[in-house]
Amino acid sequence: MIITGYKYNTEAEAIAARKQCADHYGIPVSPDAVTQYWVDYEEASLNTPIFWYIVYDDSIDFLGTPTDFEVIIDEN
Amino acid sequence: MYLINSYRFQSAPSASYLLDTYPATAAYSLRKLRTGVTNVISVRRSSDNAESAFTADEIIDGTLTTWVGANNGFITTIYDQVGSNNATQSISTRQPIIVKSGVLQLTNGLPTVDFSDAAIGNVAPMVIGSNITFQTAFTLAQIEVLNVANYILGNESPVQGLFYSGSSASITGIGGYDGTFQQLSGEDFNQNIAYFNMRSSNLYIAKNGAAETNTGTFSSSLTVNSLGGRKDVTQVYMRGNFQEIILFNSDESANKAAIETDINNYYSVY
Repeated sequence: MIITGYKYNTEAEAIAARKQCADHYGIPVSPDAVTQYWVDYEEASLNTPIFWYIVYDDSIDFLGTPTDFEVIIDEN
Repeated sequence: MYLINSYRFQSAPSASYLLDTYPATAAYSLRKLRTGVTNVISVRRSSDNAESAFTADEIIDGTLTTWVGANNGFITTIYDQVGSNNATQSISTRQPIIVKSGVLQLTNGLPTVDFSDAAIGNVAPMVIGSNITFQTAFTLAQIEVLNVANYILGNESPVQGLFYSGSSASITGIGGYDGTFQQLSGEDFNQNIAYFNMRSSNLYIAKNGAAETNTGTFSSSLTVNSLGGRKDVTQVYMRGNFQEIILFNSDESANKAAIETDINNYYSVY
């Protein structure tokens, strides 16, 4: 299916983007808080080559302009 | 001479809750299901991202909405009312909502865990601490959008779970998946009490107190690790709300009517 979001070629880049979002919103508010991140990344494990992505949300516009890309999923 | 009033020293009779009578394996609800349970959820408020835990009474008596204020309240944890196998969501933008713009989210007049609100977008399931294996499930949920598959309980490896509806050709109603789909036909957007029972290599399902239907060959139990979807697959997140999930790793077909009646007496579904 087509996902709108931010696509990364390495997991490290996705982790850095996730941290950028958390830092932007001051999360976590304390070490024992349940909420650890603002957004998370996903692995397109069925795509070749594998890539990592963050689904677009208007709260993370500061990551830049999102793009559309195909992600293969198990739809069962 | 002193007269001792012995009645004064007797403890008041305690209220009996559903799971005092029917001990479950795990239970998640916005009402109190068992003696001794205190907090049923934890909530993050959008104003400052602070988190706090609430009892079932505090959800409905105004304590929760007062704490959240005019903003939104998102559920970070649904506490397991039987053990310590809590369901959590650590990602802000994936947490279901319970207070929206200061207003408690309700279904049929009672609080609900809302996964579908358009304002919160890409909501994901709550993650259960450890896998739960069960044979019988009672769930109270309502689907609001037909996406590919509205799983209320799920596992991504092996892929399995229970669902309420879906827009795929494979899913046509309330059912289960263990590699094969078995289900009741007929999707709707109503609040439904569903009963799932796996016994004798079949999956029996009932809706809203009706007699159970043998939907066909199925596993003797399911093992799940998430509520409101299957982890990591955005197309199988539940687009709806739920109020109660009770799991038994036992055959509860003999107690079906009594448990459904208790749920319905509180939620007035049918």
